[in-house]
Amino acid sequence: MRWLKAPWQWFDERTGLSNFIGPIAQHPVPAGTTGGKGGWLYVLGAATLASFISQVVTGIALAMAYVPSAANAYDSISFISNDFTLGRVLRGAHFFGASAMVICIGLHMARVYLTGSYKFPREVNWLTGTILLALTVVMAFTGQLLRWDQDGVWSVVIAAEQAGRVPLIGHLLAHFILAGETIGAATLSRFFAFHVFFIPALIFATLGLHLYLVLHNGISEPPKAGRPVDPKHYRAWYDNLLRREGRPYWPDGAWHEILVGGLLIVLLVALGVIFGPPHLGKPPDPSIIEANPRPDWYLLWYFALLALLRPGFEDYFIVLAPLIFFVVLILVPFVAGKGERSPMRRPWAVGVVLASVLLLGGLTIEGERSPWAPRFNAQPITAAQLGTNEPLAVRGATLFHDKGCEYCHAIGGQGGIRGPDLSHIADRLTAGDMAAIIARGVGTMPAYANTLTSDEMNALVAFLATRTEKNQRSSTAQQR
Amino acid sequence: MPPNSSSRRPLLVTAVSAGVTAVAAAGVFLWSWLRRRSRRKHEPVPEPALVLSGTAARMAGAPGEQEDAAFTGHDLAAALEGQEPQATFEAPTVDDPKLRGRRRILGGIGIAAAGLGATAVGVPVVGALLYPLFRSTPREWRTVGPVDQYKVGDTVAVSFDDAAALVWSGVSSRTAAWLRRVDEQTFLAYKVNCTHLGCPVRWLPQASLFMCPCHGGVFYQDGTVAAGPPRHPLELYPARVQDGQVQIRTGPIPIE
Repeated sequence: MRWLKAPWQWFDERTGLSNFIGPIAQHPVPAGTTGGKGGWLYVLGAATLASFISQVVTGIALAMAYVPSAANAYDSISFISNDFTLGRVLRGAHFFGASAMVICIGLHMARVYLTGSYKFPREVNWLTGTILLALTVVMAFTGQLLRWDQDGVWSVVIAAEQAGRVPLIGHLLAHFILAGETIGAATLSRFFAFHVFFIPALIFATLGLHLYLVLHNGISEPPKAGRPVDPKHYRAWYDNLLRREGRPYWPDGAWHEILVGGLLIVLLVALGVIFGPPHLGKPPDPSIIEANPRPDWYLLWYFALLALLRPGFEDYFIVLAPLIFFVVLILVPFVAGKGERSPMRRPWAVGVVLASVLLLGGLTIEGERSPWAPRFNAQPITAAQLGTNEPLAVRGATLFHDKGCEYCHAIGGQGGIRGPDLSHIADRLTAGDMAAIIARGVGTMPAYANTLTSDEMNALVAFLATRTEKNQRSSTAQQR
Repeated sequence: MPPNSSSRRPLLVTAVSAGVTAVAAAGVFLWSWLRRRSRRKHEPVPEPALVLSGTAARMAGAPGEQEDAAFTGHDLAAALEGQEPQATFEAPTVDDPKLRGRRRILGGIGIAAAGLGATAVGVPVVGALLYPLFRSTPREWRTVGPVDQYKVGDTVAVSFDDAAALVWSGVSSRTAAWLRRVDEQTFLAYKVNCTHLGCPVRWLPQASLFMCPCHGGVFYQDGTVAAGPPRHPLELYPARVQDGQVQIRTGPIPIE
């Protein structure tokens, strides 16, 4: 490496780079953020940055083969997956990178909130972080639809429908998202421009400010219960802390972050190698009606929320909830910008984080299960399950499948889970009650009075009347 | 496929884009003017002295907390020659009141020129961004088959090309409808989009219901809501019989 010394000195003398970067790299940071366990608590921002860098690099490589045209994007994605050199790995790494960025930015935010690091003088650090969170979510959403398969097309429609709920300008927003009144040629090209140029540019700008502020305000020292932030004295106190026990950021603090960031990128590529790219669905043809649109996992919680809301409440919720969410995030440093930082003294803060994690986790699981969605693939009841040869009940069992009952009701563990399980319904309801419910509908069940003949109704009720715990036990016993 | 017949209304696009950028520019100007006015009202702000600080000062070799940091070529020359720095050259022009007005005008001219450039290039850019809002979407009657192909009382899936399709739209400009033959001459063409969030509903012929795979919306055969989150009936495309052929008129994706 000695032969590089002279050219580097020549270059450095003319650019002043080491004089410029040296003090930044070596700037003092509180000892608590580098030593012992402390160092590992402060790596989440760097992990987010590392996954972002990985996204930029893999994204550029993908753009070399991706064709952002509504007619060709789908084919170019399958080309990348199957024929492009290591394209499978690239797509996989890009997908897992998106997931990692969403997870890391969430964890980073939770850590910053729990340790009160957003308090004076770091309020703007928090605000830029909030903007970065929003931009990351937009990137995650636009990225999954660039796959331009069936799910991609329908997620554009669903997004437009949601935007359409905004009062007054809803239609304009919806048509802005769709790039017209329908899905078409312009839709994908515009989303490509947003995902690849526009939003990344905003991320770079905001990230630049965010990182500059980390230097300008200094990294927050680990909180201590009983040591509140007082805006009058904090800066002087912090400077004094650095003078007393400051450590050079490079390498004392930085090595943790670079290690974690580097390993994270290795992990993303490894996941790409092992699991490959996310599934590519059917072609982007909106006239293929057999669709089952689902967002990628990181937006599944929101998808679940939209199913679980009461219809009347939903209009306000779709528009207001994201708005309120970001307004609350923006208000956090203004409402609680000073005082105690330690989570030990801020039980509400701990509660908010726990509640958010539980809520998001629960909704994601619920979105995965989608109990509200009809199970179109439910199989007809078999003779063994039926356990009787009585002709009316046999006909009823066929009708139970054909009339769509089974899409929402399970019998013997088979069928949908939207409505109650009907395996033992005859233990709970009389034939008359059943007929009344089927005819009139109840809650989220449609009324069947006009779609069933009285013969069909009789058969269906006759079948359901055989669904008792006793009958089920004897039919399973016979099967054995 | 016929070329897109929608008029692009270039004048309107330009006018609105120019309006948007002009309003933004005017806003910035107004804000800076108001700010300057309120500042002038309160107290005269001293013009900042030319100060090298932080990294720049360190690069220039100035000791960190130097009194004034008005570091100049004289100092450097003196330092290089190993002499004590003599009287520092006081950046004499900085506070010269005679030059203040001139400086303000020159700076203003520079900023105005940059603003003009931004506005000039901003108009077509904003135009591109807002293009979908200005586009007038054409409507076309699309033939989906002879009348005899459809049985009275049946509901079947049909598909046709959207009128706004371009050559590079590919299959994504295909559109589906659930076509129901009500009687000899009457057809209803339901849009497939669930009125909850737009997912494609499926027709279950034996149950005579439309069901949505996304959030479980259910509609009766006449399109009215049977169950689930939707609150409005399925929308219709206009449909007609022309020369023994069933025709459907293209239309927008229904937005609530």
